[in-house]
Amino acid sequence: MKQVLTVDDSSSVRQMVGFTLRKAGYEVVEAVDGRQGIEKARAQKCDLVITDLNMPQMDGIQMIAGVRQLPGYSFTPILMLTTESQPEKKDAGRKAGATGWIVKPFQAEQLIAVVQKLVR
Amino acid sequence: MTSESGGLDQFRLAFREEARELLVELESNLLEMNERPEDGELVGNVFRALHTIKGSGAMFGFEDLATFTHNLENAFDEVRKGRLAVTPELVDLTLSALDQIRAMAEADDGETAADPAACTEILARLRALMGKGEDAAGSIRHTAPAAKPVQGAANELGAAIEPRVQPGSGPEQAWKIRFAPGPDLMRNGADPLLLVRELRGIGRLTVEASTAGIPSLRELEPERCYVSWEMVLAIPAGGDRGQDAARAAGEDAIRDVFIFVEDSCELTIEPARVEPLADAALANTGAKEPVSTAVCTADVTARALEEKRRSPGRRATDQPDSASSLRVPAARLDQLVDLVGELVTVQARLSEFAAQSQENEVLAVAEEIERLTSALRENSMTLRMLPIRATFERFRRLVHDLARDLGKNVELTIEGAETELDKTVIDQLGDPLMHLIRNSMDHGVELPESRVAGGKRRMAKIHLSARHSGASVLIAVSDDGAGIDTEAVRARAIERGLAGADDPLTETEIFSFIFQPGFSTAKEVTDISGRGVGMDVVRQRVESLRGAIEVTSQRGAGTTVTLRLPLTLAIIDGLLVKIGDAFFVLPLASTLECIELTREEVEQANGKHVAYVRGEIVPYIRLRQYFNVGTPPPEREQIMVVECEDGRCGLVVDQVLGNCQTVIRNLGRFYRHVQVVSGATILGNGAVALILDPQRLVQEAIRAKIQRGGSRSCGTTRENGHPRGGTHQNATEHSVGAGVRAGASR
Repeated sequence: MKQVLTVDDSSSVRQMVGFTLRKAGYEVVEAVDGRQGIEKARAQKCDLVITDLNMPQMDGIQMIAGVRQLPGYSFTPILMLTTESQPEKKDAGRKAGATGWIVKPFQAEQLIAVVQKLVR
Repeated sequence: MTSESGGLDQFRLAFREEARELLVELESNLLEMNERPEDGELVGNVFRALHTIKGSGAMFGFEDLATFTHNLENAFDEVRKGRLAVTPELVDLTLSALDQIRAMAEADDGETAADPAACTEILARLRALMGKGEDAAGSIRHTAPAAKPVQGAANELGAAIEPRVQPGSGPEQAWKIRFAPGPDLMRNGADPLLLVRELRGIGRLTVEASTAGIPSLRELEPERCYVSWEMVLAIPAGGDRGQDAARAAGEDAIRDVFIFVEDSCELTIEPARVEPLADAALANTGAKEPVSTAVCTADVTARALEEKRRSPGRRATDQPDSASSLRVPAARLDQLVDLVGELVTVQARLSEFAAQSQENEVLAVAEEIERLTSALRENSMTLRMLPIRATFERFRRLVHDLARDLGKNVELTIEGAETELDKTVIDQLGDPLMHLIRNSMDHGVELPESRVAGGKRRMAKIHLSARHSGASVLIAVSDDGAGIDTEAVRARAIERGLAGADDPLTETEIFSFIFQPGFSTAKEVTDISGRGVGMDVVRQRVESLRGAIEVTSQRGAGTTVTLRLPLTLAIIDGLLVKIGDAFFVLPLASTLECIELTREEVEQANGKHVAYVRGEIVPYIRLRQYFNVGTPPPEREQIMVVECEDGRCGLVVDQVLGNCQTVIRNLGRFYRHVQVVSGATILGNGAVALILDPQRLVQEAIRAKIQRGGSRSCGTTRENGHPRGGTHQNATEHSVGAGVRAGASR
């Protein structure tokens, strides 16, 4: 079963992402901020990382760069959740090593479609 | 997913709960910001909380909320960037905006709970603050409920997924695609092979890999993809769409496959003609494709080897804790506690039966079950325990707003916010505490000028505190204000016929008048308080929680109102005792020890109800007398020594039967005024036992003694000038009569 790590400080978004992906047959690990995201990614190899950008402790951009540095994560797809108001964040995320993005708000089907784009 | 609206509802509820928490956090951050406007961390927190509310709100269908919050987020982004200063006005404005956001979050589908006029005004003032008058038109667009700025963004992604070309019977369209990954494509986690597979999902695909770009081994970077692809994609034409539209949709669908890698590859997409030759080529794919796949596979292998080398034993790490805490609806916990209560009752019956049966095996099982039930009970009770922090923090806002409205300078300090209480108690504490704080703000705290004139600090202080004390929690609201004018209260009480003109009244009794319905000494009724409604409600609510209120006040120095509340309302550990034929339960937490009382000792005490416990004098109350039990007392009675606020005191019973887990049942409306009994419980043999409140018993006894004007032999070992506590001025006279007669005594 494929492991997905979802990092978001919003519990409702984590819950929605978790629920949707579990239903679609993925195993989901959750983290509440960038720092915890890196810890969880290190503790267990994930096949996909989905992260919010604006978070306390460590933001998404820093976390993406950090995860990319972790052993085993060179080619792991990383999705960032962006909002319409921050196009510059998208570029920063790409530079840090993000694979793709989903613009919030999104629907469950959209999420699954994008995840399937990146994980077999 | 869409077919399951239940799923979405669940998320909406989750969002609502999250929004509530974020709003509380926002509020306290904003209030702190008032004191430390330069604190960048506070600004960051506020911005992030607004951002989360907006983002999640939009996700779960709260568009109006998202749009509205977006404007606030913008303002705090400006603050973050140093382009807008934190002013009291901005803070106030944001606070009032939070109220609207709260209303929007609580609103059900299709209903507007927020005040549109207020929202518009808030946004207008916000724009004025941000000094963007010329830009107003643009911002107004955001305020219109129909405008959804998020919509466009959603389309960006929506486009990536939706226009999968429908298979149809019309003519096919063909596209020639050249795809050469850039150096970073794979390092960013994209996989060319997946892209090719995705294209194949759109139509029939012929793939030709070009390996010309692969350098010699020495120059080869293993993390880079050197292969490029030439592909021809034949898309089945969409049913009745026009040809141009179909072509546009086709091209979009292809571009969407590459949406994440556009910037890190060379990509050309051009129309190709569908020729018979192409068809032949398509038919031939079987021969051509393995080449590309083979190359990819080699590439994949290299990657896999590389990863393997760099991360030895990556799976060896232990399983992470996937969730350290869990959200559960409160109703489920209540249900659990109810079930545990039933279990405890049944377990008591089992123990009773086992004791009678005298069979060792049954006894062993019964004991085991008793142990487990006890552990289960303690465990399930702790599940409902919550720190009182959130309730306390809420009042920062109240104090802030009231201080502004009343023109007073007040700071709120909080102590013991981590104290845990049963959720059912916490839920009902909000209102009484609010009334107490309002009362302090309005009547207690003086205006800054008169404070200064009286030699006090200009800034008044209201202190909220919570702490454990035995099986109770003490919650105190104190202020350093003017204190209660005992003479005014006394005069008003006499005027209202609550007391006779020359009744000797203790301070405690005078303070207890404050809690009488409609009692107020305020010369004028203000918005905040003075109608005499609040305190009466406080008393009722606290008593319905089996709590008590105590007031201390010193003229000129301030007032403290202390609420004494039970830790839990459901199940307690008790000691089962017997008086005559009736059973009673005393809470174990307040019981210190049991000692014998012989008839001889009673005679030696010369009619005084005192016993000597290791050289210390302990007064006692004979419950047999108190409850009018007519049967003759046994030769040896038992004194249960209990600790209460007035010191140590003994309660004399016939017999102590032992420990019991006690599920507290309410006695019902008719017996609510019986202060000394806090509830009833069903015993293992089916009998009913009343649960006694030692604190109340002692207070009642002291009061009764004083009223009779007798010597204070019934006082407690602690020598204090006057009895404390007891807001129940006109509570029942002490002949309560074992439970059944209690109702009739009124």
